[in-house]
Amino acid sequence: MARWAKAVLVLCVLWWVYLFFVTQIVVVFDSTGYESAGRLIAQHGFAEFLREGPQREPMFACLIALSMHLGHWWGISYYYPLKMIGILFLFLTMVFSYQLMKLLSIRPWLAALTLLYMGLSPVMTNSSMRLWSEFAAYPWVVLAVLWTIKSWKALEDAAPEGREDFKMVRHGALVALAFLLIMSVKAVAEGVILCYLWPFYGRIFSYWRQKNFIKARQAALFVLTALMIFEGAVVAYKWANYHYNRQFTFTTRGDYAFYGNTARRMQPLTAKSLGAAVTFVAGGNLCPSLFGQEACDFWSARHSDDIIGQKQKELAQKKLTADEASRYYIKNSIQIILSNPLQALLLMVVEAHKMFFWESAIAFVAYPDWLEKIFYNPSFIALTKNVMAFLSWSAMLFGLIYLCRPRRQEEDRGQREALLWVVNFLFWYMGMYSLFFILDRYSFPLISLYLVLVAFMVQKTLKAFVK
Amino acid sequence: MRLRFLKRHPFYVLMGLLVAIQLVWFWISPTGFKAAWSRNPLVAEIIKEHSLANQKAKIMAISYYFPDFSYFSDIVAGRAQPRAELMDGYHFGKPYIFHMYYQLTANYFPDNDVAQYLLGFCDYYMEHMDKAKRHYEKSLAINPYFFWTYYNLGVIYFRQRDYYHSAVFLNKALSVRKEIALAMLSQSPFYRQIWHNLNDPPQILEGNLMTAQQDALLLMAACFVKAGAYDQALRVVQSVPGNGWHQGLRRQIRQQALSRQPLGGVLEGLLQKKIVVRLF
Repeated sequence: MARWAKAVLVLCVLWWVYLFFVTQIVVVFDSTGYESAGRLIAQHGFAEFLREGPQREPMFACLIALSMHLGHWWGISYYYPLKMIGILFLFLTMVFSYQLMKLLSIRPWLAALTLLYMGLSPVMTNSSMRLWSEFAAYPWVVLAVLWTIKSWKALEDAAPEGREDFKMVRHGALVALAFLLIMSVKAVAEGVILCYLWPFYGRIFSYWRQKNFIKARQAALFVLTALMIFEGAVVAYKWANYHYNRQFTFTTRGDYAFYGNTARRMQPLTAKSLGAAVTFVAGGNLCPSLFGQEACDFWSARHSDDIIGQKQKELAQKKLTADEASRYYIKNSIQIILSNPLQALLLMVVEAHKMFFWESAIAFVAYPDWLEKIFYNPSFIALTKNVMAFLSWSAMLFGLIYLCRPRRQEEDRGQREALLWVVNFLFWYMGMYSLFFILDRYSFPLISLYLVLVAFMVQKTLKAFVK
Repeated sequence: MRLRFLKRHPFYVLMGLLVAIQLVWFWISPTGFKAAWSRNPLVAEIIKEHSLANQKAKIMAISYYFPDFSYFSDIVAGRAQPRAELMDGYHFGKPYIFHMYYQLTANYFPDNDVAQYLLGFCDYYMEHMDKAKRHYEKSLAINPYFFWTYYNLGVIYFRQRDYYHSAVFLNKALSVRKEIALAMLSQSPFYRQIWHNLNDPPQILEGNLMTAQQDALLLMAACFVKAGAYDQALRVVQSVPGNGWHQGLRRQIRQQALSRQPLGGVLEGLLQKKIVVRLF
């Protein structure tokens, strides 16, 4: 690791230690649910967590349970061990992000600057020190991309010999493990992995066509191992849920959240409501000032929740079981989408842009007065949020264009491949979330990838200017 | 390996042990490192910020659950009736999460009598009688000078046909000066959240207090009739000023006491209907 990066890490650790002591977690809304799930595991074990399920994704509840045990052991509130775990995860994210930036050949000073922003960013530190699950996915997202890049490189460099097969199986297992870690925090990973591995599917096909059957077999082995281990573990967890609470599912919410959002989104669209949808993406007062409160409320989470609430009452009257209700939600959502696929696609693209507005989406942490004045200042929030959204959006677009144009002779192949996997992950993760109502915190696991991509764009732009 | 090091460098091992003992000693000694560490201005500042953050986190958490206080104001002004479904939940998009709000406040500030008192009110109308009594009693343990807590406990015990306890609490309610209750209502921020929506708070609060004092006298007289203490009941009932429906009830209780007959079911039902647990 370069000297600059080490210095930045030390600086960030000092900042986190300060924050560790002077901030406190505010337990409200979903946090209370996480807290009781963690307490359930800590007091009665994981089986009870499943018995009272289906619950939210298990990793964060387990981390809370671990913190409760540590807190009990050390005689302090469990908030402190949990904040320590948050800091540890942030540290791991920065280390993995540095590795990723090395693969993208980002210069050490720029990599250090990116790490510095990552370590000091209000949203990264805030989310790592509060009782919400997102931070538990930070390192694994970067790790999944890193291991996929390494697997891709291994496939490309593999000799067409049988003994390389085991290497590809090992790589497949590691990628599956990284996705399982993400899945245990964000269940959307189940959809992401299937689409994310498309370059490997393409490789199987292209090697087959080139009659390079050994390489095709290696690519297929990688994909099969990754998907079988991943799906095997996910299905095993679903079976565990079925065994304990008679519901064959990983977590709650997915089906009805999909239905509520689809039913809301697919209502007749006018120019005004489309305008409200576009401006609602940026948040703040933009939408109400242009289109009025009522038009903007239509695009808020409350509207989806109302639809879900009504439908749940209706299905409860029909006395449908949980599995039947789940099938009903998914089947109906697909029918609604197919009734007007263009509108569905348009609004998916529009609302997916919410994932770029991640900065300064801070809450649920008590800060000292001087920090509160900065972090909760509306001008500071508006400035950082919009600047970082613009940079993330431009970097994503830059990455897509960079990948679509033909490769030049002097270009580093490894750099381009690394970029492909970063953009690919971002694209599918955002794509999967665009099926649901997007809250700003859903984009937090992607922040490190956005920042890496911004660093890449800045480096390439500076290089072009220097020339 | 460790033993080899001990054999080769006994001096360093001995020195290391001495330093370790000194460190431990200085850590536990009142004049040692730990005390010096907490006297360090930077550390002292961080300790101060930490305790402030703890307080702030509690207040922030409570502020996320602000209910629509205008409903409670309407109850105080007599424009609305307390309803179970409006004690803890959302209704037409409005937050009526009073129970959650006061529960959180009581959890974070267990020595706050007002939170306990208001939680008792919510629990009563959510039909959690035992919980309501427990919260009112906790409130009394912290602050034994508030009229309304005694009054509400008296009403609850009357409704539960525990006339002895009802009379005890009503008697205590009547023995507390009303000025104290009014001062408490005007000073506590939790009460202020409710009454500041009223048009003329002093008049309404004082009017409610006067009415409740008449109610308390009537109930107490009814308790005495129930217990067969007719003379005491007559003395109490004489002191009820009586206007409006109080007049009618007063007359009926007086007749019962004079004829030395136990309280009838109809009259008891009427009392239970008219005299209810109130906010303030």
